[in-house]
Amino acid sequence: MGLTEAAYAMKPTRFRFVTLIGLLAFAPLLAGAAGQASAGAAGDAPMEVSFLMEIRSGEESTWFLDQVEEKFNVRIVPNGVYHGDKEKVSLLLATGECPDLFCPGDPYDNLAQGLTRTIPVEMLHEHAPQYTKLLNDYYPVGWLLGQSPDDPDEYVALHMIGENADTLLTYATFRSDWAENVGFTVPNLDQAMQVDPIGRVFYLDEDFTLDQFDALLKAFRDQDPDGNGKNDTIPWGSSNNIFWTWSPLLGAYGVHYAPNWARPAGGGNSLVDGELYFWAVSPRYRDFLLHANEWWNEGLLDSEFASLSVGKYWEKVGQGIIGAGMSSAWYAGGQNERFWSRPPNAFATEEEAAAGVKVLMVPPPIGPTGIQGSPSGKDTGNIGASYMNIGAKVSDEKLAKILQVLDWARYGDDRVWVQAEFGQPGVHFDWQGEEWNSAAMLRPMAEVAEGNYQVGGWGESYPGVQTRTRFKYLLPFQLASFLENYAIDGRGRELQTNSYKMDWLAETRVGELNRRYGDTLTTIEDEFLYKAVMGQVDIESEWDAYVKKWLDAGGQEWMDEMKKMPIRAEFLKGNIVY
Amino acid sequence: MASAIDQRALAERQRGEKWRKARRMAPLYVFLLFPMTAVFIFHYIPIYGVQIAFKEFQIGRGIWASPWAGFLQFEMLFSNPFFGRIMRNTVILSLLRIGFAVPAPLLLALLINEVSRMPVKRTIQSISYLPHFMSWVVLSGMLFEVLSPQRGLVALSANLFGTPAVNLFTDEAFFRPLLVTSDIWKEAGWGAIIYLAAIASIDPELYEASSIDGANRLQRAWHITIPSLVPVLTILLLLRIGNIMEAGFDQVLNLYSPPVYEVGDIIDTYEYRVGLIDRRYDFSTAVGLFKNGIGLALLLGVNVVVRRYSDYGLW
Repeated sequence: MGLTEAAYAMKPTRFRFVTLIGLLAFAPLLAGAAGQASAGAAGDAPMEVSFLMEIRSGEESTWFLDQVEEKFNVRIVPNGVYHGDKEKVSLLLATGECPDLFCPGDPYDNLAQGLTRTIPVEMLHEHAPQYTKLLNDYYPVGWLLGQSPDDPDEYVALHMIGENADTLLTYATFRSDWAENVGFTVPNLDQAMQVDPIGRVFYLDEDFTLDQFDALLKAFRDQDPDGNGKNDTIPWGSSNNIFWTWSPLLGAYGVHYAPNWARPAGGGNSLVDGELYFWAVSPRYRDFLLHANEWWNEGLLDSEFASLSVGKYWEKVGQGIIGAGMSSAWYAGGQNERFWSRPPNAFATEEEAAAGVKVLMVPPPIGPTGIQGSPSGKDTGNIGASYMNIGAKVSDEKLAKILQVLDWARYGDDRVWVQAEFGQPGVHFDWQGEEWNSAAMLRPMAEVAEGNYQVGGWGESYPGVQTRTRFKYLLPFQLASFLENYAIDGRGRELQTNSYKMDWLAETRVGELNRRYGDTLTTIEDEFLYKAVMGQVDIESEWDAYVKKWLDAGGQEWMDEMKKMPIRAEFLKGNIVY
Repeated sequence: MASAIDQRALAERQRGEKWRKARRMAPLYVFLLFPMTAVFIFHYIPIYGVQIAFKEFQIGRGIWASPWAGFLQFEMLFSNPFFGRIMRNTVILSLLRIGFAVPAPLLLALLINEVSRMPVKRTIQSISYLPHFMSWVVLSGMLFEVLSPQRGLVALSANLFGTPAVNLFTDEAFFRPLLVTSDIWKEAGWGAIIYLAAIASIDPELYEASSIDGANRLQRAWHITIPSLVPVLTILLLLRIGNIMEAGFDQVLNLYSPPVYEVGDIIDTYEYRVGLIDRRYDFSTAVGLFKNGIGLALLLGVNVVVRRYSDYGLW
């Protein structure tokens, strides 16, 4: 008996009942199909695009995102995740909740993991002309970076541009009055260059030897620089963040350190006597450790540093118990309220600054063999410091829309970019000087009804597209001038150290090997660093065993692969030299 | 014939009784559904993902489509230079907890039981529970402040005795004792609840009889209370041994740092660093599977031993 026969064989009531149940069961499916058909027919329903983006006020959108939605007929869905939150991002990606647009992760690794899709070059030309113009400005590097290993006409991600990236932004910092209080004469203090808007932070282009620097720290230890009658000054502000603690001392020994995120591209290597070394096993690093251990033995470091985050170090600076420490010039501008409590600003209050106290940032000290430098924070060029990845499930149609949005909001007209970055003038920010010709100073969060920092603008999950023409909006003019004239084009560039080789095009297996061995190697490095500095191991006698352990744990294979990478400086000129 | 009918009637009556009982208990069974659903969702469904321990997991391709890698992840685990260390630390910390942190609630319960004034008893209990409700993130912040070599008790006592202030968090000699004592501080009060409940169920006549026989408080505790608690203690110990590979992830993660990896890095913290931070989910799943395998084997083994020598046990 066929289905129809069976149906006729049923009593009419039962047949109606079964039919009704069947229809009810399929109702959602039918409704969905109908909905899709009508959406397709209408053609003007906004396209939904998910962004990895945090809006600090906790709201669902911002003033600027509303503008984007209106202009491009899209609905932007920020997922509330901050890109710097490694755990959240990791869980998000692992659970397949990858948004359409996100920035964390090495773009080649993301592609290999199947998290992203590639971008055809013709789509870039068609939908992102401003972006392609920027790539042309960086020709040929701009067009080489991000190229798919399998197809030169496909790109793995979009570049962010940071023309402040390839420079030196962090400096050793101390208060001039504290230095004078302990009998340390600061030469040519009157020639110090103001770098902040209120006259608190200055840059003094005066070189010190490491011996002089050590003497200053010892004087901070012994002589009560703040005059509070207590022996409570920590000479060198230190934490468990290698970059924020050791940069000038590493530079004085010619060690180029690169943060962990540069490791997938093989960052952190340098040439020593013609041989390529990774910083953690370089013979110069051993000399650095011996000096760092002297600082510990002399009581020049924070006794809690191994269990102290960089945020805690910043807090201690604000408490007035740090004699000297690292600070970022970028924070000096105070263009964002979160920067107010960070060094260099935190070294002195506004009242103290008004009373003539100067917070001095100085060049890294000259080491015992005449070497001077400090690791560049990014270890990249101005381009390629970070990327925007397109999720694997994004269709060509959606990609076109995303490219149009980004081209307009991030890579295009400076005025649009200002609003994308900071929100509405007079609502979210105020001009430092002339309208549309000076820095956008964000209003404090509490003063803006609808929240503040990048709440009015693009949200806070994307590194900026910061070209030089945008510095005047981004930074108070004093800081912009310092960056332009000193840090980027001047001596700052000479003082920064960078990797000798880097694998930006993912031509070698360094990324894959880093994934395999990275944590083991980092564990070995961290343990030895802290134990060596704190005198828990004898550096001279344990050094060879440490290096052997590192090489045997995958370091040798990784180093061998690093040797196949292109030379960084040549690559930035467009020459691929191995 | 008559007896067969009687038996059938009896069986039917018993079945009817069972059904009536079940119907009476129906609301309780409904309540049971919630935890069972939670256990099913969070403990059974994820077992599907265990297969990535045998794969080279690619996030974009998903669990099923990622290529098989055999025992590659396990080979990498066993050849890792830190494998021996994380195993050793995990077991040592767990044994230290069994040795010190398991008896602590029992001792506290015995002491609380001896307090005769009810308001005092309740106050002590409440104060001792309190740390249990705070996360290790909060408690670690408190510990860092209280034991700071610059501001805390350590600095104070160092000043008092003129000795150098030690950073307990970065000194290998102090780190394990720090973990165990802070664990006791956090959990002893909460753990005492189960013993107090068990003490409450002891027949008061036993105490009355022993009092008449002239037993003092200590003797009553030694000869009545503690023996009565042995079954509970055995079950708790069994469960703890089954979890021997769980050495206190939250606590260690919030308190450790590279100088004490040698004595404090455990399987869970290593798994966290590799898996969640470095995104090597396949490897960290292999680590987790290995850990759970050992835990299961230990639990079954110890249960067999306990059953052989006593009447207690899980099965």
